[in-house]
Amino acid sequence: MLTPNDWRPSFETLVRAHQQRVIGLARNLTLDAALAEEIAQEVFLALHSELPSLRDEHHLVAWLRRVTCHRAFDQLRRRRTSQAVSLVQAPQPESDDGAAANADFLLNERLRRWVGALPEAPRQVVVLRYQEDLTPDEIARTLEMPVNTVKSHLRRGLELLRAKAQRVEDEVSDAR
Amino acid sequence: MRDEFEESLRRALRPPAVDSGFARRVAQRVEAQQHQTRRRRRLLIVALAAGVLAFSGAAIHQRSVERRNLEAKEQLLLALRVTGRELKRAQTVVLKGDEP
Repeated sequence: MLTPNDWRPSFETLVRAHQQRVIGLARNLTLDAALAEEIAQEVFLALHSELPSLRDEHHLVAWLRRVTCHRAFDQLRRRRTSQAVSLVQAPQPESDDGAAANADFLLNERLRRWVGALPEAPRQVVVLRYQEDLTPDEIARTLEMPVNTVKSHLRRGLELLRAKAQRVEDEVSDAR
Repeated sequence: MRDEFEESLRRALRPPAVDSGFARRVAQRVEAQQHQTRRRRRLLIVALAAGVLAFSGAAIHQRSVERRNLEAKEQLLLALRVTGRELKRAQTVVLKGDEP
């Protein structure tokens, strides 16, 4: 188990090992890169104080996921910007290899926005399911909620997302 | 077989690459937080010490006031006793002088 005395090498290693997961979760939940960085920093600051009580890597990862979700929604409630992300703030595609890459980027952006616009509970369940690849049982343990509730949020979230995708597809077909 | 829509979701929600300075920024915030905690602890110790000193000073002062009050009371009682004795003596002298 890690102790506060050996935090310097161990803690930095932990940050490097989990930063992508935490920032990714925060970004997918808030749709705001700057806010995601702030949340991730706060989560790791809290982790530094919490380290002595975390038993193992598995416990640590579950703790990081849970705290990131809670902090992300706390911040969103405080700022009330969940729907306030404009296209200008969206990141640019990493590669500009042509229309296919651009279309993929736009599809991914659109999906992220739709996920980001879901109600809180389905949003965190969908993000944990598809970003973290967790099973409903694991999500239930992470968020401390019943498995059936998780399944119901997941089903509802996917229905909403599929409905939006269908609507866009219909609009495109109508335009042709 | 995995659903295509769910695969698209996985791709869309894949975490972004993190810039190399993130861990350093976290380390700096941890340092700053520890520094602040140490400073707060020092201030708390100083405040506690000042409180103890003030309390002790007040207690010493109170005891000194009480001692002075007691001395004044004893002196007053002594003065009353002396005055009483002198009055009694004077009364005796006066009474003796009145006798035929």
